[in-house]
Amino acid sequence: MTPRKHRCLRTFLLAATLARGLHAFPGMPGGIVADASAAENVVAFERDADRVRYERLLHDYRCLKCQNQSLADSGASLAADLRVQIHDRVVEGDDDAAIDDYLVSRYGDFVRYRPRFAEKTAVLWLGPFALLAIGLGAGFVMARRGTRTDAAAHAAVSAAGPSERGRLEEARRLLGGTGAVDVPTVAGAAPRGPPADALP
Amino acid sequence: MILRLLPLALFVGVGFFLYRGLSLDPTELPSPLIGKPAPEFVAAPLEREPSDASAEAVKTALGEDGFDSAGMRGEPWLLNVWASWCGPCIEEHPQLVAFARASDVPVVGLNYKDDPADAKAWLVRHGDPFATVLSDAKGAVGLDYGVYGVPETFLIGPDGTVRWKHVGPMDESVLRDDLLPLVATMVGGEGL
Repeated sequence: MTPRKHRCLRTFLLAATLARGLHAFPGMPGGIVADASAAENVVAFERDADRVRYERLLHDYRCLKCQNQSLADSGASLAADLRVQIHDRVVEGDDDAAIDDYLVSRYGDFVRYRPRFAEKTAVLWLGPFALLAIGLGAGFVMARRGTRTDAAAHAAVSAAGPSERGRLEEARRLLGGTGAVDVPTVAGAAPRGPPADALP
Repeated sequence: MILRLLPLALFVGVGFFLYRGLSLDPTELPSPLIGKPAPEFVAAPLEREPSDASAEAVKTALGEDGFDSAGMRGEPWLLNVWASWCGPCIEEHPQLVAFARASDVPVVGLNYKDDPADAKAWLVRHGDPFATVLSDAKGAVGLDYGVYGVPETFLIGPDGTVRWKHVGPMDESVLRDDLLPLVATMVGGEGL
């Protein structure tokens, strides 16, 4: 693999590793949302709209006993109790804000499965994107640096005569293409040993 | 040069937060009730008479309809949520018994999602620090207090506000370093 491709692959892997972190956050695209309920939810609704709202609300709140599950998925008795509460309130006609207030005033912000976007949670929501940007930025800068030294080496090789070119290519190949070979641009002059200022 | 240090700086930064995270327990959630009025409730006691003769406030609260939490105003009190099926409650129980002996603050038990007969048998076996024990068979009172596990303990001030909550069993250090000093500030008259 040429040095340029090697660097590009490294940059890509770095970015991909950072991007994987996105999956870790609940509610982010690609995050795990279970469709089937673990528990039997046999509840009666007169109106379909109520049932739809109820199902949606169950996915919005966390079971505090089984903390990685929503109320829809958890089999804990606390989750069952809260499902009943939400059912009763939906049937009574409470709006989403009232139900949210009921739960958060008793259990705190953590009961929301998807954290609200507020100043307190800004780091949580924006952090992965910030890290990704830093990683991509750093990778991009490093790749461009490599490209520039590559370009200098290519220019030097093409400026040399045919026999020189052959030997220079040989030298590059032997060196594994990792460093820039600082070659004199005067055709016909053979490089004697590694020049003192050949380090990148 | 700065660019070379960037990965190291990022590593140290992220590492610091991860290290801090090792000592955080997500099951111990801060209560949103701290500083707010304790939800008022009426519940049936296991026994008609309070077991501690000196708990005046408890006697006031125990009316015809059962225990009314509003009747506890004027005195600080401890609400301990427990159940006979709860393992850690056995660990914590000696601390409660010691606290009830050492302090004038009444300890009110909330028997959460439990059978009254089982609860009484459990108290006979493990000791009874409670001024009275209330039955919360469906967990309705627990819901209002944001109970999500057992045991949990609330300290409620003379003005009826929740001053402190502890999730999980209380051990000696919690009693000594958190609860008793807090009680001392309230009983000293500053809480009134």
